[in-house]
Amino acid sequence: MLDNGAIKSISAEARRRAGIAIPKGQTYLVEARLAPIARSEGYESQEDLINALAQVPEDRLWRRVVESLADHETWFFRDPAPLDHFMSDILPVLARIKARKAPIRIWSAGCGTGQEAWSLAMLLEEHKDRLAGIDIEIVGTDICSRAIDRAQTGAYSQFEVQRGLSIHRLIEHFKPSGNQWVLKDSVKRWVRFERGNLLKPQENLGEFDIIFCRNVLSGMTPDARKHTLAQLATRLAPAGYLVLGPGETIAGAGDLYRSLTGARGVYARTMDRQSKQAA
Amino acid sequence: MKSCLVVDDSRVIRKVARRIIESLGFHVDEASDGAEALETCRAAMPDAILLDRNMPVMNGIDFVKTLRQDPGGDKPVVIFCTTENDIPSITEALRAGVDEYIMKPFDAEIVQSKFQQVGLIGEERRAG
Repeated sequence: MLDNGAIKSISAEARRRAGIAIPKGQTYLVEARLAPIARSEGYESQEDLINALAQVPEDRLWRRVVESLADHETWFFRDPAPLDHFMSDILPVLARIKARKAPIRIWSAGCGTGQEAWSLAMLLEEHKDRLAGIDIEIVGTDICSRAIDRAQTGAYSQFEVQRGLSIHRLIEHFKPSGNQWVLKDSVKRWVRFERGNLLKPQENLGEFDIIFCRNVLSGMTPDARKHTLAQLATRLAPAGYLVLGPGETIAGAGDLYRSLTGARGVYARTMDRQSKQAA
Repeated sequence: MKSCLVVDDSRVIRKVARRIIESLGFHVDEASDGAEALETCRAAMPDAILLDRNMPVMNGIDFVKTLRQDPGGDKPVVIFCTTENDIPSITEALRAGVDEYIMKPFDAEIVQSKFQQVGLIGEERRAG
């Protein structure tokens, strides 16, 4: 059993490094997530692991602990309404604005094991005829390097491919491999993944036309939420779109974004970013 | 209340499936092979059918082919539930008239997800 002191130091580190809020009374969750790390790092228990970190705060190990605490649970076509709205309403607008000059760039921010990014790629692949000649790129990032490694393989268990994915999409976009199902290259070509922390996104990510950041803010502290919304705004093209998860809002972001009517969870960046940010 | 017919020659699977599907708000009936299922359907068409493949007397493929020829037999949403998980088996089932496909082993989450995809139940509001 982890004592209060241990939970406190883990909470502080999770908040500092990733903005992750560990709700009171979820000690069991921390213990469950730390168990495999303690085992693979050669410690007798989670307690021993935290004691070791208290004495030698090794960065690599802290990072592994904190990454394990982010919520990775996700599935294909989770909360599909904003994905459909993107395909039917937003993408045609972007395609017209871009008129084949610059690529349309989509960011799945906090993508976990990649299902959201791959869902978008499947939709694009299904509509590739009407998207002919338009350059589109999806980038998925997550703080957890293990999740990114898994996302990159595009390989999922039989349980994972049955959550949210219709049988028609399964046989269209995946091929069986051993006891797993692997995405076909036709889908893989749309997406690239890299590890990234939303509190300080890498400069080289570039600018995006739409950011899907769903079910991420809800696990963060209020400060981290506010900071993340501001960071995402700096990565959005003028009038770019931000999509949040159910129950998540732009509260705390000042007037960096405005709500769009008719699309729950979809926001647009306000145009004059520079002046608003200075204010 | 919507109704679902669970067709499987394993009493254990029927029991597990019944518990899950009842929890989704369905009235559940059971049949242990395709012939028995046809009889039940001809008396009263259910809204959904969870269907095993390999069964004595009449298997799942023959059942769904026959059902789809029956008056009103195009109505029920048929979800196959089987251990035959290779592409040719899946394609054969879809051609025979199956709407969705659950690969065994399954759990409550998968059944719920598949029932949502075919529109038998609404999108749930999950927290987080």
